[in-house]
Amino acid sequence: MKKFILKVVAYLVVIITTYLLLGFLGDGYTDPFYLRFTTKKQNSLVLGTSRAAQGIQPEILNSLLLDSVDKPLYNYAFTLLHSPYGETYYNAIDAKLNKKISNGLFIVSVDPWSISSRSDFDYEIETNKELGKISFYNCYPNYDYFMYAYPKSMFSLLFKKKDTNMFVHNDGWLEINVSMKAAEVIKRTMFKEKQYITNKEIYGFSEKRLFWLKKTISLLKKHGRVILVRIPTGHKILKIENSMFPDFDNLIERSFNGELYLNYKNLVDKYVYTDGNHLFKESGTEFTKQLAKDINNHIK
Amino acid sequence: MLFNSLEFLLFLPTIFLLYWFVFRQLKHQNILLFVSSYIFYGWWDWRFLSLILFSTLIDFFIGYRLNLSTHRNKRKFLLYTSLFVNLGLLVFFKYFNFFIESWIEAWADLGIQMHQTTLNIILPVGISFYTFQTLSYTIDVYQRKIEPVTNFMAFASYVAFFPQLVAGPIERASNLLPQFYKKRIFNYEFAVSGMKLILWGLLKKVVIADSCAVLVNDIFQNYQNESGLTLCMGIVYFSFQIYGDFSGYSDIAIGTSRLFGFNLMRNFDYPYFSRDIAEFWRRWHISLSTWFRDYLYFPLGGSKGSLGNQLRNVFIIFLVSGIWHGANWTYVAWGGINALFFLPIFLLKKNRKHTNAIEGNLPSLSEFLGIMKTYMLVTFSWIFFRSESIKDAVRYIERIIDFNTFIPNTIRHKKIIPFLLIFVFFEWISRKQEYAIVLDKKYRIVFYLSFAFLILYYASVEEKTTFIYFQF
Repeated sequence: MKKFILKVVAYLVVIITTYLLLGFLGDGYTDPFYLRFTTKKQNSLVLGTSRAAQGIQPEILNSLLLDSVDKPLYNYAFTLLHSPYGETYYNAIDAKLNKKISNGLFIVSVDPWSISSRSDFDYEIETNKELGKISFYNCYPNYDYFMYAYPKSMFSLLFKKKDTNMFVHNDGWLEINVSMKAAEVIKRTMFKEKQYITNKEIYGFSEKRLFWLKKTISLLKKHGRVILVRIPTGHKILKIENSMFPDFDNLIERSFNGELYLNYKNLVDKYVYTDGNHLFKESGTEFTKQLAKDINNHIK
Repeated sequence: MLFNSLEFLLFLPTIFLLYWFVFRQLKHQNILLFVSSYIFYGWWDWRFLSLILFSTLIDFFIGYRLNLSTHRNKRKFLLYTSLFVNLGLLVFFKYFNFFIESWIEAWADLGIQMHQTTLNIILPVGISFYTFQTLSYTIDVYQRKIEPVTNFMAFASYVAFFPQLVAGPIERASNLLPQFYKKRIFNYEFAVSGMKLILWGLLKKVVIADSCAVLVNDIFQNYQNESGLTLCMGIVYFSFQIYGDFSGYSDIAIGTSRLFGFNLMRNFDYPYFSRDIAEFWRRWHISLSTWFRDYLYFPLGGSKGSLGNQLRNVFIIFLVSGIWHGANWTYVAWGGINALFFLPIFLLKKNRKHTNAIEGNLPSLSEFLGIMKTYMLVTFSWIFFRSESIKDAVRYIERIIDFNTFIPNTIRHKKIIPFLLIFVFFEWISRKQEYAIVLDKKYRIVFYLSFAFLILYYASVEEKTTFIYFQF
């Protein structure tokens, strides 16, 4: 018996040690989410969906924002499928938030989709995605993520491609590097617009999501200042949003009367988009500078 | 609880340590096995534990009464009660909706519309397996082949023994039950062989079956748009999927049992190296084939009596075996096709021509041709087994033989082929052994670790799949 157990343990030690070591290979190239769940609790956050994940660069905010803000800011925005406002995102934010601070800054990106639900599912889809699957949001390596949310084997970390067009920075910003040749931008834009035309049919305003957005903002307000932001997007998608939800801006202003709402939706032509929806990274830099300037004006 | 789950990875060593270090007395070990088996099953859905317990109580009681009674009619009554209760539960949970729907469809074909009333019935995992296992006990007691048990805990543990509870091997009371009375002594070699079986079984399931499953699902879902060659690859992959899945489960079950000192019957014996269809059926799902042979085929008369009766018996056993697999006409068709394949060698009385594994390093030409022919026949029948309906199966075949669309523009789904060839090679060199990883001492550590890492590489937790035979 002793020999058997020793042998099994020896094999297990080799296997488990290898597995544990593999966890240290996880980084910003692993996938668009992993790194966000490996950092400590944060004092100030950027929240929202992929528009915020790609369009708001914490590094620029951290260098331009006034020192009265508890910096650094951390980009904790994901995608429309993963982080529309709801219980799942609320719990993930709650877990990421450093509850000891009271002068944080929380940039909450909003758009009609982030407070809408899909009619083709009878449950909130994000519950089955990364944020809904894990229980630990702040540990490195995050084995919880690898076991329950990472769609591949941990061994794939050995073969990850560093030439991928996606990279998550240590401040949470998701950098996207795609060709900006006109023909390719047009192709991506057409695809994205088609996708949003379909989305218009299946998404509808959700009272429940608005409730969770309110709850999220109440939580954040206990720990600092909340600023609501509407990030600009391309003409066609804005048109879809306006027709789908013409009263969106009024609803946000009505619902969050005391909060600052920076609405940039009309600055469409000022920026360049990779696919008619997301800001190109250089435009993201310009937009973030504009955002920092406007925030400074208000918090002076 | 799935064998390829994290829960089981924690469950197994916990029970193992408790079994050998804490509950060292036979009586206590049986209680531990009973409780752990119910936890194992209840992990899936605790409500159905009542069904197993009910079957256990009925058959324990009937076995006991059978022993007391010498009156022929009374004994028959007790046997029929057991058959009625056990098969009744099986039929209700597995076939109720199927029979209702088939009945309505049959009338609809005659132009008579009937109101459809089906129930929302959940199929309890493994019901076909444990039902057959408890039935084997009652029938054996009735036929006085075994003595009935007096120890309820031993009997309940036999019925619910977790390694083989949900997908077999379907054990005979005469083999497994006595092992619950005997003091189990830890045997190093036996336990090591168990670990090897678990490793090989996991490899078959996770690396072979699950990889093939992705391709098979893709091909069968879109078969109308696929080329004939791709469809051929689809059925070849399915043949590996179902073999890897089911024999992998059996290996893990047998291996796990060995860790607790139990020896279960062999369920697969390298079936794809069979030289004729009769040999295939002696090597595939052995515990079910022999169950049907002993409890259905022989009582019907087997290969005795008139030719008509013999043919009837062959068809009955194959058709029943088909419907046992699921409530769908596709399984019946699958059974019928196999009966047709079996018939020629049965009539020529060549069904026991090949009873040993092939000698030599390579097969002779006639053996090779025999293997290929058998594999092709078996694989053809898998089309019916895998398709959603008979109509789909027929269209799938029509699409294969449409030579205008046989050659695809690009051959997809080919990355897995080297893995399958390596797998076949391992199986071939091990075909005379009990399992495929009896390796030279010098290299075995490297192989075992490589296998383990390969399993972990493929074992994406998110896409952890259940075993096909759980549904049967």
